[in-house]
Amino acid sequence: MAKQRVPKGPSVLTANDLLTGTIVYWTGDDWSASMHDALRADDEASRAALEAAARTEEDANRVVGAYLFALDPETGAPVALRERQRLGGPSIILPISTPRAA
Amino acid sequence: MYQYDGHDQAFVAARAAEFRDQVARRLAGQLSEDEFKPLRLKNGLYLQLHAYMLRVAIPYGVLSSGQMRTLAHLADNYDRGYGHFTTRQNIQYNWTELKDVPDMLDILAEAGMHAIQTSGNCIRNVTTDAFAGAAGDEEVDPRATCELLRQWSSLHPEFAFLPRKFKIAVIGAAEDRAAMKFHDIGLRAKPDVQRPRYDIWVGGGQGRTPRVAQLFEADVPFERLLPTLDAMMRVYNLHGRRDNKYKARIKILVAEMGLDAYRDEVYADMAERDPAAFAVAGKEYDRIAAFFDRGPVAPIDDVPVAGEGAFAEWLDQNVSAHKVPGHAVVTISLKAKGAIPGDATGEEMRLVADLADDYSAGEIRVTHRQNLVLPFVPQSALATLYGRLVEAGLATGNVGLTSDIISCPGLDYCALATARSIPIAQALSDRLREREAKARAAGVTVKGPTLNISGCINACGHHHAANIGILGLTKAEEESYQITLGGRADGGAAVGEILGPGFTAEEVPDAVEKIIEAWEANRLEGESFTDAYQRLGKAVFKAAVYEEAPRVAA
Repeated sequence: MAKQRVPKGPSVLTANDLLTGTIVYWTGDDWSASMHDALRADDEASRAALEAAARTEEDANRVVGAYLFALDPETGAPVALRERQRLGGPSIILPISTPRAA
Repeated sequence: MYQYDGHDQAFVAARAAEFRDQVARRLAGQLSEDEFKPLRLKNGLYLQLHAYMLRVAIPYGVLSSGQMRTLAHLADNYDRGYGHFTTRQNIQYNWTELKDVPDMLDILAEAGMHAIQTSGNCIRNVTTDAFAGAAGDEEVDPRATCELLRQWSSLHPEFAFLPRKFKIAVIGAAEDRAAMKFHDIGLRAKPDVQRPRYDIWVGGGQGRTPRVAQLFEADVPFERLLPTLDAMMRVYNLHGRRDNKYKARIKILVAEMGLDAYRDEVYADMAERDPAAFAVAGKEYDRIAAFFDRGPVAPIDDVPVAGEGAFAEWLDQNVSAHKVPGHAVVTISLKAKGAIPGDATGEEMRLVADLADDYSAGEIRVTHRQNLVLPFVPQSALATLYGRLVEAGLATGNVGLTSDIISCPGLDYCALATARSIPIAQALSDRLREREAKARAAGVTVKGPTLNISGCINACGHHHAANIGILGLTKAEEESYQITLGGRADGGAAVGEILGPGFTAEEVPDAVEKIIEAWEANRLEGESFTDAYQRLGKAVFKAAVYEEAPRVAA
C-alpha cells in the first residue's frame, strides 16, 4: 500500500494495474486508463470514499499502490509534476521509432 | 568467457521456477503486495511510473552474442522493441507485464542469465572494466575475480538482508574505467605469483551523500580476499543503520565509525573465524580463470589503420589499444546525436550480436557509460566493421567526448525520479554534437569534459562523478536542474561541487555550453577540464554562467 498523504482539495484515485502495471484511474465502479473517466472527489466525505475504494481494490488484488492525488481546482489538471508526467506518459519519442543520426 | 556448468544452470532454472510460483500465488491473491514486493525486487522486478520494469543482470557486463540475441528477443516479444543499458552494466526492460515475467526468466535461464539480486538490500551485480581481458594497459584480468564474487554473493544467506544495497566493482588496470572508488567496496587486482593480490577500497558511493572510497588495505593476498570481504560485510551487516535508509549504506558506517575503528572490527571478526572455510576459493578461482585464460584471440601482425572524415573520428574516439597484438577494442556508441543514452532496439542488439560473431570472437561488453564494446576485433576488420555500423546508424564517433552522456531514465520512466533526464540529455547531445563536428572540422580534437545526468538525488546517472554533472529536482512542482563541476570517476575520483542556483530545462544547454567555453578560453595547453577547474576554481565558471542573468535561487 502506498503511503501518501490524502490531499485536501479536489482529488482523484489512481493506481497501477496488478497484471500489466498500466496506470489506471478510479471511475467509481471500475478502473480506466484515462483520467478523463476518473471520479473527482471535491469534499472530505468523497475523498474518504475514494480512500476506502483504494483499500478494497488493493485487497481484491486488482491494482497496486492506490493513492489519491490533488487536482488544480480551476483547471482540473494534476498539481504534482510527478502526476503530470504519469498522465502524459514518457515525454520522449520511444527508440523503436527513432532512426539514429550521426 | 565463463560458461555455466550443470550446477549454475540448475540454480538459475530453479530460481525462475520459484518466481513463477510466487507470481502465480500473487495473481491468485495468496500473496499480498506487501508480501510479494520483496520477492519481486529480489528478482529485479520493479513497479515504475507506467509499467513493471525488469532489470536483468549482465554479470560484470559480459555478454555472448547468443545472450545478446536473447536480450533482443525479450525486447521484441515482451517489451516495446527496445531495452536500456544501465550504469551498472545491466539492461532494463521498461514495459514488462507481471504475467510475462516468469516466461522471461525461463528464457533468460536457458541463455545462462537471470535477474537475481539486481534489486533489494543485497550484494548487487559485480561490475568491472568493460575492457577486461582486452585492455592494452591491463595488469590482471578482473573477470575471474568478478565471477568468483558473483558465486560467493549469489543468495548468500547471511547477506540477503543487508541494511541497504551493496555494490562491488573490480578493476585490473592502472586506469579506472569502472568508477571503482564510487562503490561500497572497490577492488584493484594486481599481479602476484600465482593468483592476484588486491587493494581493497571501502565506503564509496553516490546518492544523497556522495563519498569517494578509502583504502581499507593494500596488497591483500588472494587467500585473504574472501575472508576479508566476508568480515567486511559482517561488520557492516551488524552495525549498518537500519533505522534510516538514507544513512544505511556502508559509506555512512565507515564515516561514523572512522576507517580505523571499522578496520579493527573487521580484523577482530576475521580472527574469530577459520580461514579454512574459504580454502576452496583458490581452486574455484583457478577453474573460473581457465575460462578466461584461454583467450579467444591469438597475436597477429599489427595492421596500421587510418581514415578520413567520420571514419577518422571513429578511429580516434571509439577504438582503443588491445593487449593482444593485431587487435583493437571497439566501443559502439549508444549516444548518437539526439539519442536516448543507453537505449538499443532489438534490431540493434541483433546487429551487434552478428558483429560480435563476425569480428569479436562472439563476445560483447556493456560499459558503465552505457555503451557497448566489441573487445576482440582484428585491426584488419576495423574498416569493414565501421561500414556495417554506419549502415545501422551505430557509427557515432564520440566515445569519451562530452556528447557521450550518461543519463538515467529519469521521470519519463522512474518512480523515484524528481525530474526528467532523457530530454535534457537529448537537447545537450544535439548541441554538443554540433560543437564537436565544428571542432573536428577545425582540426581540434578534445577529450571530455564528461557529462552525466541524474533525475534524482539517488544519482543513478552518476552526476556526482562527472566533470559536469546535472541533477534534476522538483521545485514548486516544476523541474529544476542543478549543475555540479569537478567530479571525476577515474583514479583521481572526486565529487563534483554545486555551481550555483538551478536552471530550467530550457536553460541547461546554454549553461553547459558556457561552462565548456569558459574552460576552452582559460585552459593551459592540453589541460583537462578537471585540472583547469582545480586551478581556476569555481568563480571563473560561475561568472561565465551567471553573470549575464543573475538568477533566483532554486
